[in-house]
Amino acid sequence: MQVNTDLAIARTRAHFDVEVMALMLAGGSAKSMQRRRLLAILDADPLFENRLDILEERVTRYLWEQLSSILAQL
Amino acid sequence: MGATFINTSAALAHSSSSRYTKALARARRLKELQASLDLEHDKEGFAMLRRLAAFDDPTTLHELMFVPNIEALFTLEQQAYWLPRCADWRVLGCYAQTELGHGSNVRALETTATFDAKTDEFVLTTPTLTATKFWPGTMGKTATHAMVIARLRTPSRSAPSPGSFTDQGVHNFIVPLRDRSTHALLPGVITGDIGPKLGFNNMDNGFLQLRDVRVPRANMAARLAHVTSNGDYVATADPTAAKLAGLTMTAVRSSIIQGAGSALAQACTVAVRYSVVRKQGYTEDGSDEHSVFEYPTQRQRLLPLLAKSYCFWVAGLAVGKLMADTEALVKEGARVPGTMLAELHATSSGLKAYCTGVAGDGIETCRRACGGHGYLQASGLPPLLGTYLQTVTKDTGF
Repeated sequence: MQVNTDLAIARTRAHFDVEVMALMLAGGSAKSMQRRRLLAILDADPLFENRLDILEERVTRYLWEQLSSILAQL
Repeated sequence: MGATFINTSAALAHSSSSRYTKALARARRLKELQASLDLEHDKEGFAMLRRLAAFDDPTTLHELMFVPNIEALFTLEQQAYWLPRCADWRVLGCYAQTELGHGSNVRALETTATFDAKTDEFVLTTPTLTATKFWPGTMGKTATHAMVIARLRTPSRSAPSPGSFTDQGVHNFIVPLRDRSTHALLPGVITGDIGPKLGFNNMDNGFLQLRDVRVPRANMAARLAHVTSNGDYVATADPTAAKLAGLTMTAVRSSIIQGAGSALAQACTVAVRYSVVRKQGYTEDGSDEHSVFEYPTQRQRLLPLLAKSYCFWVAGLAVGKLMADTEALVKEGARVPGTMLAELHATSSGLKAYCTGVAGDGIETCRRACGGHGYLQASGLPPLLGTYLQTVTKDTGF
Protein backbone atom coordinates (compact mmCIF):
# COMPACT_ATOMS: atom_id res chain seq x y z
CA MET A 1 0.00 0.00 0.00
CA GLN A 2 1.30 3.43 -0.87
CA VAL A 3 2.24 5.40 2.24
CA ASN A 4 1.76 9.13 2.40
CA THR A 5 5.12 10.93 2.11
CA ASP A 6 4.64 12.96 5.29
CA LEU A 7 3.78 9.84 7.21
CA ALA A 8 6.82 8.00 5.87
CA ILE A 9 9.09 10.89 6.90
CA ALA A 10 7.52 11.03 10.38
CA ARG A 11 8.13 7.32 10.82
CA THR A 12 11.85 7.65 10.06
CA ARG A 13 12.13 10.03 13.02
CA ALA A 14 11.26 7.36 15.61
CA HIS A 15 13.59 7.48 18.61
CA PHE A 16 13.17 3.83 19.50
CA ASP A 17 13.32 0.48 17.75
CA VAL A 18 9.76 -0.16 16.58
CA GLU A 19 10.40 -3.90 16.22
CA VAL A 20 11.68 -4.22 19.80
CA MET A 21 8.68 -2.28 21.06
CA ALA A 22 6.33 -4.55 19.07
CA LEU A 23 7.94 -7.65 20.58
CA MET A 24 7.61 -6.25 24.09
CA LEU A 25 3.97 -5.29 23.68
CA ALA A 26 3.09 -8.67 22.23
CA GLY A 27 4.77 -10.44 25.15
CA GLY A 28 7.78 -11.87 23.32
CA SER A 29 8.82 -13.09 19.89
CA ALA A 30 6.69 -16.23 19.91
CA LYS A 31 3.52 -14.28 20.66
CA SER A 32 4.50 -11.59 18.20
CA MET A 33 4.88 -14.22 15.45
CA GLN A 34 1.57 -15.82 16.42
CA ARG A 35 -0.10 -12.39 16.31
CA ARG A 36 1.21 -11.70 12.80
CA ARG A 37 0.22 -15.16 11.59
CA LEU A 38 -3.33 -14.79 12.92
CA LEU A 39 -3.65 -11.25 11.56
CA ALA A 40 -2.57 -12.45 8.10
CA ILE A 41 -5.25 -15.16 8.17
CA LEU A 42 -7.96 -12.66 9.11
CA ASP A 43 -6.73 -10.12 6.55
CA ALA A 44 -7.02 -12.71 3.79
CA ASP A 45 -10.59 -13.67 4.75
CA PRO A 46 -13.25 -11.59 2.96
CA LEU A 47 -15.69 -12.20 5.82
CA PHE A 48 -13.56 -9.97 8.03
CA GLU A 49 -13.33 -7.13 5.51
CA ASN A 50 -14.90 -4.30 7.48
CA ARG A 51 -14.46 -1.43 5.07
CA LEU A 52 -18.11 -1.63 4.05
CA ASP A 53 -19.59 -2.35 7.46
CA ILE A 54 -20.69 1.23 7.97
CA LEU A 55 -22.60 1.18 4.68
CA GLU A 56 -24.40 -2.07 5.46
CA GLU A 57 -27.95 -2.21 4.12
CA ARG A 58 -27.54 0.92 2.08
CA VAL A 59 -27.96 1.48 -1.60
CA THR A 60 -24.41 2.81 -1.65
CA ARG A 61 -23.08 -0.62 -0.82
CA TYR A 62 -25.01 -2.13 -3.72
CA LEU A 63 -23.69 0.47 -6.10
CA TRP A 64 -20.15 0.05 -4.76
CA GLU A 65 -20.23 -3.68 -5.40
CA GLN A 66 -21.71 -3.18 -8.87
CA LEU A 67 -18.88 -0.80 -9.64
CA SER A 68 -16.32 -3.24 -8.26
CA SER A 69 -17.60 -6.06 -10.48
CA ILE A 70 -17.55 -3.80 -13.55
CA LEU A 71 -14.00 -2.71 -12.79
CA ALA A 72 -12.99 -6.33 -12.28
CA GLN A 73 -14.17 -7.17 -15.79
CA LEU A 74 -12.18 -4.39 -17.43
CA MET B 1 -45.54 10.64 20.04
CA GLY B 2 -48.65 11.50 18.03
CA ALA B 3 -47.32 11.89 14.51
CA THR B 4 -46.15 8.59 13.05
CA PHE B 5 -43.84 10.25 10.52
CA ILE B 6 -41.60 11.59 13.26
CA ASN B 7 -41.65 8.38 15.29
CA THR B 8 -38.04 7.22 15.09
CA SER B 9 -38.31 4.05 17.17
CA ALA B 10 -38.41 1.76 14.11
CA ALA B 11 -35.58 3.62 12.39
CA LEU B 12 -33.35 2.97 15.38
CA ALA B 13 -33.59 -0.76 14.78
CA HIS B 14 -33.23 -0.52 11.00
CA SER B 15 -30.61 -2.81 9.49
CA SER B 16 -29.59 -4.30 12.83
CA SER B 17 -30.69 -7.73 11.62
CA SER B 18 -28.19 -7.97 8.76
CA ARG B 19 -25.37 -6.68 10.96
CA TYR B 20 -26.21 -9.29 13.58
CA THR B 21 -26.30 -12.04 10.95
CA LYS B 22 -22.90 -11.02 9.62
CA ALA B 23 -21.48 -10.88 13.13
CA LEU B 24 -22.76 -14.41 13.78
CA ALA B 25 -21.09 -15.61 10.55
CA ARG B 26 -17.83 -14.07 11.73
CA ALA B 27 -18.18 -15.66 15.16
CA ARG B 28 -18.70 -19.04 13.51
CA ARG B 29 -15.63 -18.53 11.31
CA LEU B 30 -13.54 -17.77 14.41
CA LYS B 31 -14.82 -20.99 15.95
CA GLU B 32 -13.77 -22.90 12.82
CA LEU B 33 -10.36 -21.21 12.90
CA GLN B 34 -10.01 -22.17 16.57
CA ALA B 35 -10.20 -25.82 15.50
CA SER B 36 -8.18 -25.60 12.30
CA LEU B 37 -5.38 -23.56 13.93
CA ASP B 38 -5.22 -25.88 16.93
CA LEU B 39 -6.19 -23.12 19.38
CA GLU B 40 -8.69 -25.22 21.32
CA HIS B 41 -6.30 -25.58 24.26
CA ASP B 42 -4.55 -22.26 23.70
CA LYS B 43 -6.87 -19.81 25.46
CA GLU B 44 -4.49 -16.89 25.03
CA GLY B 45 -4.10 -17.61 21.33
CA PHE B 46 -7.85 -17.78 20.78
CA ALA B 47 -8.33 -14.57 22.79
CA MET B 48 -5.73 -12.94 20.55
CA LEU B 49 -7.58 -14.13 17.43
CA ARG B 50 -10.84 -12.68 18.73
CA ARG B 51 -9.15 -9.39 19.62
CA LEU B 52 -7.57 -9.11 16.17
CA ALA B 53 -10.88 -9.87 14.44
CA ALA B 54 -12.18 -6.74 16.20
CA PHE B 55 -15.94 -6.92 15.76
CA ASP B 56 -18.91 -6.92 18.14
CA ASP B 57 -19.19 -10.67 18.60
CA PRO B 58 -22.67 -11.69 19.80
CA THR B 59 -21.24 -14.86 21.34
CA THR B 60 -18.71 -13.00 23.51
CA LEU B 61 -20.32 -13.69 26.87
CA HIS B 62 -20.14 -17.43 26.28
CA GLU B 63 -16.33 -17.42 26.43
CA LEU B 64 -16.01 -14.41 28.71
CA MET B 65 -18.38 -15.32 31.54
CA PHE B 66 -20.48 -18.46 31.01
CA VAL B 67 -17.66 -20.99 30.56
CA PRO B 68 -15.34 -19.45 33.21
CA ASN B 69 -18.21 -19.61 35.70
CA ILE B 70 -18.66 -23.31 35.06
CA GLU B 71 -14.91 -23.86 35.42
CA ALA B 72 -14.80 -21.93 38.70
CA LEU B 73 -18.04 -22.77 40.48
CA PHE B 74 -19.20 -26.17 39.25
CA THR B 75 -17.89 -29.54 40.46
CA LEU B 76 -15.63 -31.64 38.24
CA GLU B 77 -18.54 -33.99 37.58
CA GLN B 78 -20.73 -31.08 36.48
CA GLN B 79 -17.90 -29.69 34.36
CA ALA B 80 -17.53 -33.07 32.64
CA TYR B 81 -21.14 -32.73 31.50
CA TRP B 82 -21.26 -29.06 30.55
CA LEU B 83 -17.82 -28.14 29.19
CA PRO B 84 -17.79 -30.47 26.13
CA ARG B 85 -21.22 -29.11 25.19
CA CYS B 86 -19.94 -25.55 25.60
CA ALA B 87 -16.86 -26.30 23.50
CA ASP B 88 -18.81 -27.24 20.37
CA TRP B 89 -21.64 -24.74 20.97
CA ARG B 90 -24.31 -27.33 21.65
CA VAL B 91 -24.68 -25.08 24.68
CA LEU B 92 -24.12 -21.37 24.09
CA GLY B 93 -24.41 -19.39 27.27
CA CYS B 94 -24.82 -15.91 28.68
CA TYR B 95 -24.48 -14.51 32.21
CA ALA B 96 -27.64 -13.18 33.85
CA GLN B 97 -26.84 -11.26 37.02
CA THR B 98 -27.94 -7.62 36.68
CA GLU B 99 -31.60 -6.88 37.26
CA LEU B 100 -33.63 -3.75 36.59
CA GLY B 101 -33.65 -2.98 40.32
CA HIS B 102 -30.15 -4.12 41.28
CA GLY B 103 -26.80 -4.58 39.58
CA SER B 104 -23.57 -5.01 41.43
CA ASN B 105 -25.30 -5.26 44.81
CA VAL B 106 -25.64 -8.99 44.34
CA ARG B 107 -27.05 -9.56 47.82
CA ALA B 108 -30.18 -7.60 46.92
CA LEU B 109 -31.06 -9.54 43.75
CA GLU B 110 -34.72 -10.57 43.67
CA THR B 111 -34.80 -13.56 41.32
CA THR B 112 -35.49 -16.73 43.28
CA ALA B 113 -34.64 -20.41 42.84
CA THR B 114 -36.89 -22.44 45.13
CA PHE B 115 -36.10 -26.10 45.70
CA ASP B 116 -38.98 -28.54 45.14
CA ALA B 117 -38.08 -31.79 46.88
CA LYS B 118 -41.01 -33.61 45.26
CA THR B 119 -39.57 -33.29 41.78
CA ASP B 120 -35.89 -32.75 42.72
CA GLU B 121 -35.90 -29.47 40.81
CA PHE B 122 -35.35 -25.78 41.33
CA VAL B 123 -38.18 -23.44 40.34
CA LEU B 124 -36.82 -20.13 39.05
CA THR B 125 -38.93 -17.00 39.10
CA THR B 126 -38.48 -13.28 38.63
CA PRO B 127 -41.22 -12.27 41.08
CA THR B 128 -41.35 -8.53 40.35
CA LEU B 129 -40.75 -6.17 37.44
CA THR B 130 -37.53 -4.98 39.08
CA ALA B 131 -36.34 -8.60 39.24
CA THR B 132 -36.22 -8.69 35.43
CA LYS B 133 -32.71 -9.54 34.30
CA PHE B 134 -31.58 -6.65 32.16
CA TRP B 135 -28.46 -6.06 30.03
CA PRO B 136 -26.93 -9.56 29.77
CA GLY B 137 -25.05 -9.73 26.47
CA THR B 138 -25.65 -12.73 24.15
CA MET B 139 -29.07 -13.23 25.78
CA GLY B 140 -31.49 -11.35 23.52
CA LYS B 141 -31.23 -13.62 20.48
CA THR B 142 -28.21 -15.91 20.66
CA ALA B 143 -27.86 -17.92 23.85
CA THR B 144 -29.37 -21.35 24.40
CA HIS B 145 -28.68 -21.21 28.15
CA ALA B 146 -28.18 -18.59 30.84
CA MET B 147 -26.11 -18.63 34.01
CA VAL B 148 -28.80 -17.14 36.23
CA ILE B 149 -27.78 -15.64 39.54
CA ALA B 150 -30.70 -16.16 41.93
CA ARG B 151 -31.56 -16.35 45.62
CA LEU B 152 -31.66 -19.99 46.66
CA ARG B 153 -34.65 -20.92 48.83
CA THR B 154 -34.75 -24.28 50.56
CA PRO B 155 -37.55 -25.75 52.71
CA SER B 156 -37.35 -24.22 56.15
CA ARG B 157 -36.31 -26.65 58.91
CA SER B 158 -37.06 -24.31 61.78
CA ALA B 159 -40.67 -23.65 60.74
CA PRO B 160 -41.60 -26.58 58.51
CA SER B 161 -44.98 -25.31 57.45
CA PRO B 162 -45.87 -25.57 53.75
CA GLY B 163 -44.55 -22.63 51.81
CA SER B 164 -41.96 -21.74 54.42
CA PHE B 165 -38.46 -21.38 53.02
CA THR B 166 -35.01 -20.35 54.16
CA ASP B 167 -33.09 -17.85 52.03
CA GLN B 168 -29.61 -19.32 51.43
CA GLY B 169 -28.27 -16.31 49.53
CA VAL B 170 -27.40 -15.99 45.84
CA HIS B 171 -26.17 -18.96 43.81
CA ASN B 172 -25.59 -19.77 40.16
CA PHE B 173 -28.00 -21.87 38.10
CA ILE B 174 -27.81 -22.98 34.47
CA VAL B 175 -31.21 -22.33 32.92
CA PRO B 176 -32.11 -23.44 29.37
CA LEU B 177 -33.68 -20.56 27.46
CA ARG B 178 -34.26 -21.86 23.97
CA ASP B 179 -35.09 -25.15 22.28
CA ARG B 180 -31.89 -26.66 20.88
CA SER B 181 -33.56 -27.74 17.63
CA THR B 182 -35.81 -24.79 16.84
CA HIS B 183 -34.25 -22.02 18.99
CA ALA B 184 -37.79 -21.18 20.14
CA LEU B 185 -38.20 -19.90 23.69
CA LEU B 186 -38.92 -22.60 26.25
CA PRO B 187 -42.09 -22.45 28.40
CA GLY B 188 -41.92 -19.82 31.13
CA VAL B 189 -39.00 -17.99 29.51
CA ILE B 190 -39.65 -14.43 28.35
CA THR B 191 -36.62 -12.83 26.78
CA GLY B 192 -35.58 -10.59 23.92
CA ASP B 193 -33.24 -7.83 22.81
CA ILE B 194 -33.39 -4.61 24.86
CA GLY B 195 -32.97 -2.56 21.68
CA PRO B 196 -30.40 -0.38 19.96
CA LYS B 197 -27.69 1.28 22.03
CA LEU B 198 -25.21 4.06 21.43
CA GLY B 199 -22.92 1.45 19.86
CA PHE B 200 -21.98 -2.23 20.17
CA ASN B 201 -25.18 -3.07 18.35
CA ASN B 202 -24.22 -6.52 17.09
CA MET B 203 -24.36 -7.59 20.71
CA ASP B 204 -27.85 -8.71 21.67
CA ASN B 205 -28.06 -7.36 25.20
CA GLY B 206 -31.26 -8.82 26.55
CA PHE B 207 -33.94 -8.91 29.23
CA LEU B 208 -35.24 -12.02 30.94
CA GLN B 209 -38.28 -12.88 32.99
CA LEU B 210 -38.75 -16.39 34.34
CA ARG B 211 -42.19 -17.77 35.20
CA ASP B 212 -41.74 -20.88 37.33
CA VAL B 213 -39.07 -22.37 35.11
CA ARG B 214 -37.93 -25.74 36.41
CA VAL B 215 -34.35 -27.01 36.15
CA PRO B 216 -32.83 -30.22 37.58
CA ARG B 217 -31.00 -30.03 40.92
CA ALA B 218 -27.77 -30.77 39.04
CA ASN B 219 -28.00 -27.38 37.31
CA MET B 220 -26.97 -25.49 40.46
CA ALA B 221 -23.27 -24.65 40.81
CA ALA B 222 -22.26 -27.14 43.50
CA ARG B 223 -18.58 -26.55 44.12
CA LEU B 224 -19.09 -24.19 47.05
CA ALA B 225 -22.49 -25.43 48.24
CA HIS B 226 -25.13 -27.93 47.22
CA VAL B 227 -28.66 -28.96 48.08
CA THR B 228 -29.42 -32.58 48.96
CA SER B 229 -32.39 -34.42 47.47
CA ASN B 230 -34.40 -33.83 50.66
CA GLY B 231 -33.71 -30.09 50.52
CA ASP B 232 -30.87 -29.68 53.01
CA TYR B 233 -28.37 -26.94 52.21
CA VAL B 234 -24.73 -28.05 52.56
CA ALA B 235 -21.89 -25.54 52.32
CA THR B 236 -18.64 -27.07 51.12
CA ALA B 237 -15.49 -26.04 52.98
CA ASP B 238 -13.38 -25.39 49.90
CA PRO B 239 -11.53 -22.08 50.29
CA THR B 240 -9.55 -22.84 47.12
CA ALA B 241 -12.70 -22.86 45.04
CA ALA B 242 -13.89 -19.61 46.62
CA LYS B 243 -10.60 -17.91 45.79
CA LEU B 244 -10.61 -19.27 42.22
CA ALA B 245 -14.13 -17.93 41.73
CA GLY B 246 -12.97 -14.46 42.71
CA LEU B 247 -9.96 -14.73 40.39
CA THR B 248 -12.23 -15.45 37.42
CA MET B 249 -13.67 -11.97 37.79
CA THR B 250 -10.17 -10.51 38.10
CA ALA B 251 -9.18 -12.14 34.82
CA VAL B 252 -12.03 -10.31 33.10
CA ARG B 253 -10.88 -7.03 34.62
CA SER B 254 -7.29 -7.53 33.46
CA SER B 255 -8.50 -8.05 29.89
CA ILE B 256 -10.60 -4.88 30.19
CA ILE B 257 -7.52 -2.89 31.32
CA GLN B 258 -5.49 -4.19 28.37
CA GLY B 259 -8.44 -3.53 26.07
CA ALA B 260 -8.51 0.12 27.21
CA GLY B 261 -4.95 0.46 25.94
CA SER B 262 -5.84 -1.25 22.69
CA ALA B 263 -8.92 0.92 21.99
CA LEU B 264 -7.11 4.13 22.89
CA ALA B 265 -4.16 3.10 20.70
CA GLN B 266 -6.51 2.62 17.73
CA ALA B 267 -7.94 6.11 18.18
CA CYS B 268 -4.47 7.64 18.65
CA THR B 269 -3.19 5.90 15.53
CA VAL B 270 -5.96 7.43 13.43
CA ALA B 271 -5.62 10.89 14.98
CA VAL B 272 -1.81 11.03 14.90
CA ARG B 273 -1.61 9.82 11.29
CA TYR B 274 -4.27 12.29 10.28
CA SER B 275 -2.47 15.11 12.10
CA VAL B 276 0.79 14.35 10.32
CA VAL B 277 -0.82 14.38 6.89
CA ARG B 278 -3.34 17.19 7.34
CA LYS B 279 -2.01 20.67 6.54
CA GLN B 280 -3.18 23.86 8.19
CA GLY B 281 -1.52 27.30 7.85
CA TYR B 282 1.70 28.44 6.17
CA THR B 283 5.22 28.81 7.44
CA GLU B 284 6.38 32.37 8.08
CA ASP B 285 7.99 32.75 4.65
CA GLY B 286 4.92 31.21 3.04
CA SER B 287 6.96 28.56 1.26
CA ASP B 288 5.35 25.55 2.90
CA GLU B 289 2.32 24.47 4.90
CA HIS B 290 2.41 23.28 8.50
CA SER B 291 1.08 19.83 9.30
CA VAL B 292 -1.48 19.95 12.09
CA PHE B 293 0.82 17.78 14.18
CA GLU B 294 3.40 20.57 14.31
CA TYR B 295 1.07 22.66 16.46
CA PRO B 296 1.86 22.27 20.19
CA THR B 297 -1.84 22.25 21.12
CA GLN B 298 -2.45 19.23 18.87
CA ARG B 299 0.54 17.41 20.36
CA GLN B 300 -0.57 18.34 23.86
CA ARG B 301 -3.91 16.72 23.18
CA LEU B 302 -2.68 13.56 21.49
CA LEU B 303 0.73 12.58 22.84
CA PRO B 304 -0.29 12.08 26.51
CA LEU B 305 -3.10 9.82 25.27
CA LEU B 306 -0.68 7.89 23.08
CA ALA B 307 1.62 7.41 26.07
CA LYS B 308 -1.29 6.28 28.22
CA SER B 309 -2.33 3.70 25.63
CA TYR B 310 1.07 2.01 26.08
CA CYS B 311 0.79 2.30 29.87
CA PHE B 312 -2.66 0.72 29.95
CA TRP B 313 -1.57 -2.17 27.74
CA VAL B 314 1.45 -2.88 29.94
CA ALA B 315 -0.63 -2.43 33.12
CA GLY B 316 -3.11 -5.00 31.78
CA LEU B 317 -0.24 -7.42 31.13
CA ALA B 318 1.09 -6.84 34.66
CA VAL B 319 -2.30 -7.43 36.30
CA GLY B 320 -2.73 -10.57 34.15
CA LYS B 321 0.66 -11.87 35.32
CA LEU B 322 -0.10 -11.10 38.97
CA MET B 323 -3.38 -12.92 38.57
CA ALA B 324 -1.75 -15.94 36.90
CA ASP B 325 0.88 -16.15 39.68
CA THR B 326 -1.82 -15.96 42.36
CA GLU B 327 -3.95 -18.55 40.57
CA ALA B 328 -0.98 -20.93 40.37
CA LEU B 329 -0.39 -20.58 44.12
CA VAL B 330 -4.05 -21.22 44.88
CA LYS B 331 -4.14 -24.30 42.64
CA GLU B 332 -0.99 -25.67 44.28
CA GLY B 333 -2.75 -25.36 47.61
CA ALA B 334 -0.07 -22.95 48.81
CA ARG B 335 -0.96 -20.36 51.41
CA VAL B 336 -1.92 -17.18 49.61
CA PRO B 337 -1.69 -14.11 51.84
CA GLY B 338 -4.96 -12.26 52.19
CA THR B 339 -3.13 -9.06 51.38
CA MET B 340 -2.11 -10.48 47.98
CA LEU B 341 -5.71 -11.22 47.05
CA ALA B 342 -6.85 -7.86 48.42
CA GLU B 343 -4.17 -6.02 46.45
CA LEU B 344 -5.07 -7.90 43.29
CA HIS B 345 -8.74 -7.06 43.76
CA ALA B 346 -8.12 -3.39 44.58
CA THR B 347 -5.54 -2.88 41.82
CA SER B 348 -7.60 -4.51 39.10
CA SER B 349 -10.80 -2.71 40.18
CA GLY B 350 -9.14 0.69 40.40
CA LEU B 351 -7.29 0.30 37.12
CA LYS B 352 -10.44 -0.90 35.37
CA ALA B 353 -12.35 2.23 36.41
CA TYR B 354 -9.47 4.61 35.67
CA CYS B 355 -8.25 3.14 32.37
CA THR B 356 -11.66 2.77 30.77
CA GLY B 357 -12.64 6.31 31.81
CA VAL B 358 -9.49 7.80 30.31
CA ALA B 359 -9.81 5.67 27.17
CA GLY B 360 -13.46 6.66 26.63
CA ASP B 361 -12.71 10.37 27.02
CA GLY B 362 -9.48 9.96 25.02
CA ILE B 363 -11.21 8.43 21.99
CA GLU B 364 -13.54 11.45 21.92
CA THR B 365 -10.53 13.78 22.17
CA CYS B 366 -8.93 11.94 19.22
CA ARG B 367 -12.17 12.26 17.27
CA ARG B 368 -12.29 16.00 17.83
CA ALA B 369 -8.60 16.27 16.95
CA CYS B 370 -9.50 15.09 13.45
CA GLY B 371 -11.85 18.02 12.87
CA GLY B 372 -14.80 17.32 10.59
CA HIS B 373 -13.33 14.04 9.37
CA GLY B 374 -13.63 12.67 12.90
CA TYR B 375 -17.39 12.98 12.60
CA LEU B 376 -17.40 10.68 9.56
CA GLN B 377 -18.10 7.02 10.24
CA ALA B 378 -15.41 6.10 7.69
CA SER B 379 -12.75 7.60 9.99
CA GLY B 380 -13.44 4.65 12.27
CA LEU B 381 -13.65 6.94 15.30
CA PRO B 382 -17.46 7.29 15.79
CA PRO B 383 -18.06 3.50 15.73
CA LEU B 384 -15.01 2.95 17.95
CA LEU B 385 -16.33 5.51 20.45
CA GLY B 386 -19.86 4.11 20.42
CA THR B 387 -18.61 0.57 20.88
CA TYR B 388 -16.05 1.43 23.51
CA LEU B 389 -18.31 3.52 25.75
CA GLN B 390 -20.11 0.37 26.90
CA THR B 391 -16.86 -0.79 28.49
CA VAL B 392 -16.66 2.38 30.57
CA THR B 393 -19.98 1.69 32.25
CA LYS B 394 -20.14 -2.11 32.31
CA ASP B 395 -18.91 -4.46 35.00
CA THR B 396 -18.17 -1.77 37.55
CA GLY B 397 -19.36 -4.00 40.31
CA PHE B 398 -16.93 -6.90 40.16
